[in-house]
Amino acid sequence: MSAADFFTFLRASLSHLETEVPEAHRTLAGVIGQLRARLVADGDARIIQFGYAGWTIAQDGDTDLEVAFDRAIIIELVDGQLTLQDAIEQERLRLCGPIGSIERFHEALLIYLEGMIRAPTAPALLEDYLSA
Amino acid sequence: MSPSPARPRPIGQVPFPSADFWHLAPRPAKSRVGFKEWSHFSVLGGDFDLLVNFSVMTESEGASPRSTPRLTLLVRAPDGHWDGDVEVFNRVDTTILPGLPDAVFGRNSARFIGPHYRVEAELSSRAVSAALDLHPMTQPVIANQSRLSDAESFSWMVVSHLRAEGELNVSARRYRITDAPAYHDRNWGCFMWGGSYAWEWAIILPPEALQPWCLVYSRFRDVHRGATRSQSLLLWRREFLCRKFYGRDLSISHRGLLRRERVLRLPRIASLLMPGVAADVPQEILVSARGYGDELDLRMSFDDFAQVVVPNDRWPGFTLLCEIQGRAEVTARIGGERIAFEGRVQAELNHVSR
Repeated sequence: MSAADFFTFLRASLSHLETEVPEAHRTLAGVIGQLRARLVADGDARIIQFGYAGWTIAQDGDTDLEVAFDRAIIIELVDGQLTLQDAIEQERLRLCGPIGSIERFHEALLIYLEGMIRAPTAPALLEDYLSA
Repeated sequence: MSPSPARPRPIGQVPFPSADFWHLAPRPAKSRVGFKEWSHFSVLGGDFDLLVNFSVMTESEGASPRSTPRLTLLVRAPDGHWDGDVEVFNRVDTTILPGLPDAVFGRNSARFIGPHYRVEAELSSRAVSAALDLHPMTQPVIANQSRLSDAESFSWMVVSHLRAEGELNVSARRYRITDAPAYHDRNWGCFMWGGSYAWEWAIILPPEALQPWCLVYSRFRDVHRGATRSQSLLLWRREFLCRKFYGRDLSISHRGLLRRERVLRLPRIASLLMPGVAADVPQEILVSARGYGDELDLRMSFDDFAQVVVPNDRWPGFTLLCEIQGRAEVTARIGGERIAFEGRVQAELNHVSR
């Protein structure tokens, strides 16, 4: 499975979040601020950041932290079989960077997840990604 | 499927269409922010529990209010394993007409095809499905404008006792349902998830259809659960509500805390935000009711629970609905008649998480 599918999903989910749960999106943008996160999904890397033009997902650039994972982890997390803490402790979800950046990313991730639970179109979006 | 001839006949259909109907269709013209309505069915089997809930809630997030239809299907299978999920539907896949009890959410439906209800539910995301025929044994009762808080209230239609026939499928295992006790209610009103209230609710049903008694317990408190706003215990004999205990008639206490090694939370992704198994679910709720010479003692002993996580109306935060299963013992003297029976209990605790 192409990891690019994850970034397609991520871009779409952020767009839906902005439309359907604007308070969650505002909070997320406020927490993540200028943080630049390098996401490595199934070995394919992109850098995500928020700015005046909204979200950008680029191939190159400076980063503040790196988060690496694979599709199997996402399936287990979404299905409630694995907690974030277990995923991190088992090094299946790998976070690398300064503590402050990791804390901000973790806080942003929880806001993103709460927003996704609220967004009516999120389940279908997630299902499309997971079943692709 | 027709009911067993050995048990009392289910009552006729006449009272139902006038008592049990949708008040809000998922149409913008009738949308009111905060309006919520659901049609709920529970089956309390000897070795399983099943909840099917069709809900429509009008939410204010986003540019304009929207009505979101959801199906919650939750089952505790005979092997003790919980399964289920919450699924969201588009309005175009949803058929609800105000004034009728029927609902169609995708391939899921609840219909009154008098004199019984037919419920068919099948999750798209998991191998869980149920097909039920539910035969009412009690008349519907309506409680209008039950107060949740100073500003919030809801109305409630209850058919406290039905008998269920049908089939339950969980992870490729098929379970036959025969003459199982069941419950149906409808709630509607303008209130907020995350509002300044908490509730406890429970249904106590007899295992046998010939047993004439069943009970519904409820208590509404402030969000901190320090002050009780209202509490009641309703007793049915055969098809009629025969005794109501209210307010100071009741003395209620909790004992212990129920602990499980694993707690299923729906939707499952919510476990990422709420890891761990701590929950303020008691091991027992004891209710003592006294009034006008009548007395009733109820002991609800809980065995297991799952949680449905509902986003609060106002960002951020969640409300936790703890769906609990267990056993009940009832001893009473009502109008000089002595009553004693053991039954099944399904309870729900509504607590704001944060």
